[in-house]
Amino acid sequence: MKPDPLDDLARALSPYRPAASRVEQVRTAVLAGAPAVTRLSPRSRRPRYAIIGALMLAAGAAAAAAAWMTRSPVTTAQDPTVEQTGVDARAATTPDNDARTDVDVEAPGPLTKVPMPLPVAPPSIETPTTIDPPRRTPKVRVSTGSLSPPPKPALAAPGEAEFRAGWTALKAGDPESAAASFEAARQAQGSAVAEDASFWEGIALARAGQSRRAIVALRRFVTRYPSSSRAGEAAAKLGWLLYDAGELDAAARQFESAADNVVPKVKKSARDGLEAVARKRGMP
Amino acid sequence: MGELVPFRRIEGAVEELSDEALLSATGQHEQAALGALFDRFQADVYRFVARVAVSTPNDIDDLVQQTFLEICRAAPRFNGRSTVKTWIFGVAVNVARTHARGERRRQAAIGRSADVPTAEPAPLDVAADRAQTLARVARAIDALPYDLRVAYVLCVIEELTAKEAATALDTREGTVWRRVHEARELIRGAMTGGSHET
Repeated sequence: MKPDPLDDLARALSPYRPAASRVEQVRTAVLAGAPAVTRLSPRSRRPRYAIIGALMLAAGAAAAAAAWMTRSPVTTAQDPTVEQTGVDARAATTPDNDARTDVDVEAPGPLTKVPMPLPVAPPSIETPTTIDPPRRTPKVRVSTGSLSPPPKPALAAPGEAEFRAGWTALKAGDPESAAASFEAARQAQGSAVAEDASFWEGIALARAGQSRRAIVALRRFVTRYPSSSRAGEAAAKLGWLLYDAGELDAAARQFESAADNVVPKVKKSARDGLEAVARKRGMP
Repeated sequence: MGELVPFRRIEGAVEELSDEALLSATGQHEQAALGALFDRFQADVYRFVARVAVSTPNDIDDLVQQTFLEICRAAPRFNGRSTVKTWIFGVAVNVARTHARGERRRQAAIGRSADVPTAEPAPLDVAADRAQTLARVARAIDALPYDLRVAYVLCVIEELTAKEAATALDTREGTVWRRVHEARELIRGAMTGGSHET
């Protein structure tokens, strides 16, 4: 671009420099808001807003009708009849909406939970030998601990102790014990690590050679946490377990769900799996 | 059993990760990556938003926050056809544009635009105090029409190439050239006596 004397003046303008405390506040707000943003894709948000709007309209209409019926000057919020009517109307209007909301609420967002022990050398998902292993691991992975470790809670969160025990056992080469600990972590009342524990339970079972139980565990994970950042990896692993078990159709479905995963290794594994399924189907 | 598919998290210092890797991890809902991305680009976004949005510090904070949340949401759609910085500027442009439209509507609704006093233009005097000159340049940039202001800020202050700015603005390179040229003319006019303020 051809230089202009005015440009030098423009570039000499003092850039806006917010106070560090303001930047930190914004950073905190961004990190706090990110899980909600990433869990709701724009596509899924629109119908949700529409449903919420419909609920409000239905509740409002029901409240107005009840107020007219009772002809009471009491406000709707204080009128138990109206409240009951509002609840009924909401339930009757969208019977499946509450369930969908529950899933979102219950599913803990990735990396927003209590701090978890991370291994120096990460565990891996194994796939059959028919696929050539890639040479390098892409460095697109981030260690939560090394970047911005979350503050440690004063008390261990529900399930955290069991999760740590499972992790220790897995690193020590005892996948059976690890699977049991991860299962306990998953089932702990109000578990804060249910998502991670569910994933690792499946992996530990697979390492222990308990393929059927691993399939059940990983199916539970991909069903319960479809928006998890590990859903693709779990699907790829599950696909190979199903492939080994001879369930080609089910394996293909899992591979297809991970075939466009943004993590190159997972995508490659899933696509290799699809090719393996196709080859096996083509065999006499 | 042979091929190893690595688990998603591995150790790695943030400075070792490329912008693309951070954005990819952000798309995977990695909060730590988002934090690192924020640390790496917040100064650029703050500077850009503050210059194009012409707003209060609180509004600027909000816009920066919105920009990074939008980055978080849109990260999986990054296709690598531009640098991450250019792509982030593109997100910031959209966020700022939405804000600017709302601001125009708000001002129109309360009828304030006619009450805003325009800066009194003065002849450009090379001997004038530099601070005063810079202040007039800043006012002239602030008074540019939004599209011209964004193109000028991206190309001149942020020093993106016209091609990169075109990518960020989702427009043609020629359009960027034209906008920058018009912006310069308007700024020059404001500095030498004319005023384009409305």
